Amino acid sequence: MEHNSFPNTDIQPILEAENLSMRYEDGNLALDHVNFKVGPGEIFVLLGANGAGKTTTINLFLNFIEPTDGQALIDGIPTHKDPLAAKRKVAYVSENVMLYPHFTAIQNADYFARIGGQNHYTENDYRDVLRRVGLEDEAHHRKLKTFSKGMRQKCGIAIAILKNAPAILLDEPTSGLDPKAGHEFINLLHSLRDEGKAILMSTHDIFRAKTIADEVGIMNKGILVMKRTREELANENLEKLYIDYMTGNGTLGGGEDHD
Amino acid sequence: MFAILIQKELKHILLGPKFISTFLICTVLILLSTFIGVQDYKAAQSSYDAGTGLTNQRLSEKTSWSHMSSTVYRRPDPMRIFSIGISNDLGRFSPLSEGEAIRLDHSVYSDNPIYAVFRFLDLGFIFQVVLSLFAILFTFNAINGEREMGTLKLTLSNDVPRAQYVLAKFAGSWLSLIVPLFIPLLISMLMIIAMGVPLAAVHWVKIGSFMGLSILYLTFFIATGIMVSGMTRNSSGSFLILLIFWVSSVLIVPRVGMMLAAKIQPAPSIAEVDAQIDEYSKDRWNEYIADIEEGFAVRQAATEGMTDEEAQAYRDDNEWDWMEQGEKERLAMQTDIQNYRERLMENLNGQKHKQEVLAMGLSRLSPASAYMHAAMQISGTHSDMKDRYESAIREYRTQFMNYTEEMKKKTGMDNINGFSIAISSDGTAEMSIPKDQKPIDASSIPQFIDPEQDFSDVFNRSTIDIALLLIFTAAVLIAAYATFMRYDVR
Repeated sequence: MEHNSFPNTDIQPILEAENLSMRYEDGNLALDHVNFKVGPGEIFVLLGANGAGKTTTINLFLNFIEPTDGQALIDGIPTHKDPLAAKRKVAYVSENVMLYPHFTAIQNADYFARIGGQNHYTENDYRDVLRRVGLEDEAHHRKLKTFSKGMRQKCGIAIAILKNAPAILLDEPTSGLDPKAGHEFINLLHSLRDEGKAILMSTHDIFRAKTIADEVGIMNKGILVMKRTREELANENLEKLYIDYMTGNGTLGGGEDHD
Repeated sequence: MFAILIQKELKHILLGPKFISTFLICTVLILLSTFIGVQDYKAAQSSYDAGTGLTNQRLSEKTSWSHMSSTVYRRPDPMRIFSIGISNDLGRFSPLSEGEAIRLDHSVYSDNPIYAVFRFLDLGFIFQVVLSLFAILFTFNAINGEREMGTLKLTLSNDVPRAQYVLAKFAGSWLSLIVPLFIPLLISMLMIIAMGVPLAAVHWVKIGSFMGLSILYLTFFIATGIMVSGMTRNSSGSFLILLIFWVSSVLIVPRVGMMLAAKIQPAPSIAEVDAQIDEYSKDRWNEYIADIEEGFAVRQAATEGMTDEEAQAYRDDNEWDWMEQGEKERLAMQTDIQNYRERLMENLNGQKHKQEVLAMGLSRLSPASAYMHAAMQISGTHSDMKDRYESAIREYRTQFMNYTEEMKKKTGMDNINGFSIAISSDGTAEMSIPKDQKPIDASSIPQFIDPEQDFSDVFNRSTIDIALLLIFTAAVLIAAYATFMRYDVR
């Protein structure tokens, strides 16, 4: 499926950061007036070094912390005002999916699907989704404690798919994946995008960001210093841009800079 | 949602490695404790049967109601299987005679000191020490363990209300620890019945109360485990905190309570009181002897100048008055000593009572202590067991003595085993030894009835401890809820 150019301003965004700011009690400014929108069928990648504010942004969308200014909206619902309603619209994959080690893949999938409000799945449904993410049949009834990190990550993605939410948040989901698994993961993410999911992903992997994203935002010290669409990036070197912004040599122009 | 969360909790615990090992250890301990408890009860019952049999035989062999004495044995109660309390420390019987003090002698531990070395581990102990520790082992990582696994973040990324989550944690842990306990407890009940321990209706009510109390106690530790795991970031930290709390609650606070009470409300020891009485007694005897000597000197002075015959006549005339006077002074002196002894003992008992009340109050700061007090009260084996028995034996002594006195008068057997010495007016003595003396009808002697506590009395005595446990548990549950509402899941 050929993907539409981004951003499409006519479509109501599913994920939206509106002047999103977070200052910790110790005075440390973790996020400074971050703005972005992710519409259905779009992948927005937050690129940045450790401590740039990527995970804080995701935590604000999940209402694990409350913003000190601005708001995070999921399908128009401010997450800090009605967190439960907002969470119904989002699935989440963490950097290091652990799950319950004494449960099988299907048991884990069943539990998280049910607390995600999906009570109608059969074992075949679980198997189908597990196969889709690349988990072979023999692993479906194996306990998670026997899984490799890559297998657990696939299981985590399967859980996110099973929730069937319009938005998916992925926090460094590709860290630790081998190249083959990484490639499969990119294909999977594209297929989810093609199904109309709004995807927000954080990573520090420039190559994957470029391959996956419809739009990339570079974060540095809590500030979204640059945003580029896939089309814009076709004529630019993302690696150079990233290094420039990280070292403070970033320049305005060629898209929407620090907002 | 709540049901899904509880189901997950149950599955998570039941499939985990902790459950099966904990369940097996609990089962073995409960069954072993019950078996040993029943054996201990049966041994106490045999000893009781032998003692009462011997006493009855001795009474039935008596041929006179004069100078009757007996021995009262304490009947063992089946509730000692559940909470032994002071049963084995308290004497098994007390002598019963006119001049002798009521005292329960020959405890199991004084007769068999080796039993004191390897004290019997009753069900109360298993709950108080072992199962409370298991409750902590079950729950120390209930919340922070999920945070460490990353499952807490994943769970709460869904529309799961935190209140439901923490309540499901509590309910799941409770069900997976408490419900499996019913299996060994049920088997132990069957074991008690099969081994022939007589249980009356009141015992079943007490057993039910004991079980309810024990479950409440474990509930407290489960709630505490969840509260601490929801206050700390790491499971190693929460385990350390809970272990310190457990050691303080189970081992330190009850003993510190006793020590503090002894400092705040000191009471002299029996030896000190005996020494005081002894000193006073010596002083009074010395005064008495000095008075006698003074009286003797006065009498001697009065005979000065008299001839021997006049002096003898003077002494003969006054001898009885002097003897009467001397006897009066001696009795006054002895009454004085007795009163002094009673005053000191009353004072000592008052001080000890105050100290005991204070110690109990302080130790109740520990839920383990509150549980122990309530368990012993329900089983009737708390420290008041001694007073209860001594008071009942004292009452029985009056009843026994009144009865024997009445029978003595009724049967005319006011001599010792029918043996009598009669002194006639001419000064000759006649000794009479009756032949074919018939034994007295000992079966008519009123029997000692062990002081039974009715359930309302038991309930009243254990109310404060049960109420405290309820308050502690409710407070900890509220705290667990409040802390988890603000818990940083990242």
